[in-house]
Amino acid sequence: MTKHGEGDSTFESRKFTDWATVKEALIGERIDAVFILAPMAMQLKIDGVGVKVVYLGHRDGTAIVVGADSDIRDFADLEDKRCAIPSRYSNQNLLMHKMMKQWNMEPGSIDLIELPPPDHPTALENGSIDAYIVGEPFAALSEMNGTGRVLYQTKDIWEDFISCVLVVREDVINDERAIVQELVDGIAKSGKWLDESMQNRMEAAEIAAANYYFQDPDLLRYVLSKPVDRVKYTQLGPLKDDFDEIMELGFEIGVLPRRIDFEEYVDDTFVRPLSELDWNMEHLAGADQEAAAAAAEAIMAELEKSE
Amino acid sequence: MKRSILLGAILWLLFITASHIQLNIGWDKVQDSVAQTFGKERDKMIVGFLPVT
Repeated sequence: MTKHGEGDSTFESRKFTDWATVKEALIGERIDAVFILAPMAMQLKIDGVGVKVVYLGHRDGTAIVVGADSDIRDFADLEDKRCAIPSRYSNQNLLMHKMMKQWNMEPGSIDLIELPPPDHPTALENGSIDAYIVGEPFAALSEMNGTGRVLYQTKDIWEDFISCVLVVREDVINDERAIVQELVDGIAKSGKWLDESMQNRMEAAEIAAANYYFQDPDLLRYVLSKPVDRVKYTQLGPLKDDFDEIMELGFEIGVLPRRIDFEEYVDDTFVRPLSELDWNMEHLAGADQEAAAAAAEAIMAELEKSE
Repeated sequence: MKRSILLGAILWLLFITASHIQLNIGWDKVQDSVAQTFGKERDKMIVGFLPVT
């Protein structure tokens, strides 16, 4: 459990390992909010759990990865291959079905299997799968190790791809609007700060690796810079068109048992224009600013060179 | 004798009640709920995450 907070309020984060426990925790009011996959949030609402989506976690930040030496060159080459997805209720699953349709492939023509994301790179390396689709940092991990190659970044095949959303209990939304607003503003402000400069991203990689994700800082630096728009942390307000598309796809492939209206499961009243929000902070406490600046400079030089 | 049995029963009841509150709800949450009932603005939120993407 970790604690965060810019103002007077405290936000405690709590890690869960399976969806059933998240659902129980929400129903039992042991948690107030949760970051979960977008179709999972819809299913929760369909199941009668009193929650609403108030914000997104990020946009993009997912990739389809194949073996580094694989002869898979485009989506059609995935036919009759085995591909790992993070969950049946993931937008990654929906994207695979959307792509199959676009490429005129039968719905079952790719063998999609559910695997926990941390296992994706290993499964690809040992040959038990031919490809995987997952959120970062697990796509970048195979790329960095030299065992995987990105076939598609989601930003190139589903613009402004949504993976994780912030869901809040309705009673909290109704009774405690101030603290929900503080949470949403905090996410928006930190996202704005992250997308402002490469140095900010490098500082965030260092701090997040050490304190939250417990991942290799080089891996997080890679995720946040190669390419620069691999993951986006702005435009996080939930939009009707995006969610309608997810709902329709989920229903079409049988992941969601019925459609529900956007207004039933989304509350976008906490979204404020980014121009109204400012994080009164230049650097993250504890970050090595010189190292972050040097890393940012090296990345920018590399980018200029490649252009 | 009767008095000590009564006292023991009360103490036992209190202990069981306190244990139930701690195990099923948590004293922190009870304190927060009471404070909020008396008008205190909420200052803590628990945010879960499911790292599955």
